Amino acid sequence: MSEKSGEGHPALRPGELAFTILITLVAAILLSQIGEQTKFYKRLKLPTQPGFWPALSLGGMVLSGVILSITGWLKRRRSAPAGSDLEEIVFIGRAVEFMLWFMVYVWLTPWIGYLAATILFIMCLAWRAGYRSLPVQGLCAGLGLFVVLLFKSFLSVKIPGGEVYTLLPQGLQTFMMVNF
Amino acid sequence: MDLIFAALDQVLNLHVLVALLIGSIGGVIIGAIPGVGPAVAIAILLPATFSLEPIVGLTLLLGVYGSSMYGGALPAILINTPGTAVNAMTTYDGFPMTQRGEAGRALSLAYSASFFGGVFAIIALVMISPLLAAVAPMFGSREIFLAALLGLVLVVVTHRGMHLVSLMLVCFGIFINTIGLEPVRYSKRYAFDQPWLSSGIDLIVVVLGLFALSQAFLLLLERDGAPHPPKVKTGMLHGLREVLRYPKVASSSSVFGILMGIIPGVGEFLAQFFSYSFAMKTSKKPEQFGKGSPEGLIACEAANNAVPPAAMIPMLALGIPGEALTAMMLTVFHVHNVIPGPTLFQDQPDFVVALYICLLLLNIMVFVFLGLASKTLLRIVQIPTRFIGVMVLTLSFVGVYSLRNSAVDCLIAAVFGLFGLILRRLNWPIVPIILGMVLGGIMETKLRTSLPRLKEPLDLVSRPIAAVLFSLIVLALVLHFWALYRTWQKKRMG
Repeated sequence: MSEKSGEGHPALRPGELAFTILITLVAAILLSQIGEQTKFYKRLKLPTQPGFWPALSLGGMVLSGVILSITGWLKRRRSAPAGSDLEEIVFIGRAVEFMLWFMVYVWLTPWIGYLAATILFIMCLAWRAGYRSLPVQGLCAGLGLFVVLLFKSFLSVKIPGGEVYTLLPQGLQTFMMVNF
Repeated sequence: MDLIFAALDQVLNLHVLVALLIGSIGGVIIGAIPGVGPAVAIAILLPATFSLEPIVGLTLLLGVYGSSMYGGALPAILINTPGTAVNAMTTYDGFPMTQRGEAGRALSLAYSASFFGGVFAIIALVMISPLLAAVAPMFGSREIFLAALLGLVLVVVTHRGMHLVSLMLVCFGIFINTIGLEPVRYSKRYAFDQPWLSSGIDLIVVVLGLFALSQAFLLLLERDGAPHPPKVKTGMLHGLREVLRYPKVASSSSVFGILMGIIPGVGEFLAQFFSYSFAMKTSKKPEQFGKGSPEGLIACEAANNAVPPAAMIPMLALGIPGEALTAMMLTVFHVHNVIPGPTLFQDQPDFVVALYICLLLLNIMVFVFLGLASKTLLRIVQIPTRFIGVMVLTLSFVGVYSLRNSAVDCLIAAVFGLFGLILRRLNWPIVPIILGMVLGGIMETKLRTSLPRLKEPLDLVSRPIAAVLFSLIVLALVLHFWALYRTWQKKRMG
């Protein structure tokens, strides 16, 4: 479980200090909202107040974040991290593209149905990832079908049928709604 | 005897056996794919198990959990890349054995040691079950609060060199869990008048984002690669015989695995670390460790495979998950209204024994499967990383969307995916967030229900078990600060 257990003090990584400061700032802003966003009742002991746990957790984040920021800044003064912060931000920014791919898949499913959306998604994403040969694209279509059969047809997970299914004849419509 | 028959009655059901078979073989395959791991697989499968019977759903997840370590040893030994994070130390001696042309022997040893560790832990747990049934009812709200607190303290102190990061992430997890309606007076917290925040942020959405989506993003962004492992010939019986030639190493490592599994918040890595160090200290050939020592390999694999059965103890007996995987499994219990906790061992002992039988069966199934299919598994290691990324992203959709058919959940998961990617790039741990969410929720409820019954704050630790737990918390903190002081002093001395 402990991914990092057993390691010594690790060196500062690119972007680490900026990320720590960002988290600390967000936590501090949220902590400043404690009075508005939680309730503190009269005559209740502090640990039983609804606002106690958010205050404790945000306070802990701010405290540890401030110490981490200071130690990170001192580490950075001693030796710069291997790699630039900007390169790291660009790398993380590239993941936004795949976030958008994922959200398009989410948006498409209720319209064209789980089966079509899944096959389309796997084939297009595999194309984008560099797998463009016909056999691999065929394999992707097969895998898409397998995923839908496994989860929707056999395990009956709750994924609604596509809007497009309403255009089908009644018998086929029900079959598609239930299985794909 | 009646108890065993009642448990067997639950297990010897076609659905359970099929779930066990799929879970255990699926777990080996998932474990063998570098970069996926059981957490991703369980997170994806979790919502699919909600429609199944509790024992069937749990068996499926248990199969994945219990067998992934077997599969994780395969790439660790053959290509020096652990399939799961907990197989990291397997590379120390496994890969050097492969380099000197003993890949088959290393795999047989690893599988046999895993089998030994798993079976040893299950037998030990069956033996201590009556004791657990007697002790568990002594845990009231304050004891459960202190046990959860001990778990969080251990999560922070066991992340060496990352204590403050772990503390911050634990606090972040506790905060996420407080968003929405609070559990006692039902007032809103940090909902910002947004309906989608009022119902809180679902644990599964966070888990899928942090584990599955972040891993998919990482796999899609990294350079594509398809390793080519050497051809191997395994002899499982020969491996088992060799493990039995080192009974001290195998059994002491299994004991370390059991202990580390029982203590909430510790887990496989420390079990491996302690058992490896202990085996090296007590070995007649310590110089071979790290250069292909069979003892080192046995120590790692026996220890990490003894953890899953033991990790079920705090979850079943107290309702406290000791790690991210058992935290996910806890949600399956709650969905089916089977509430793990002190009364489970008394009210449904057959259910608990059935789970242990399932664990035993899965170890046997996996051992046989690996004996027959190791060569086929080599092909799985060769799947290109980006293609795995495509599949993980596709499967993550099922996990998130099938929860509530909510696009907002998917967006939250995607944002947590991005957050998880940053954590992975920084080498920050993800597990403290999950444990903060789960244990933070337990701590709040238990403390708020027990405090009004206490006259003085010291009454919180007045009962024997509460006092023991409190002493353990103090001891963990004292030892931690002492170790920090010693490190600081050593640095100062130069």
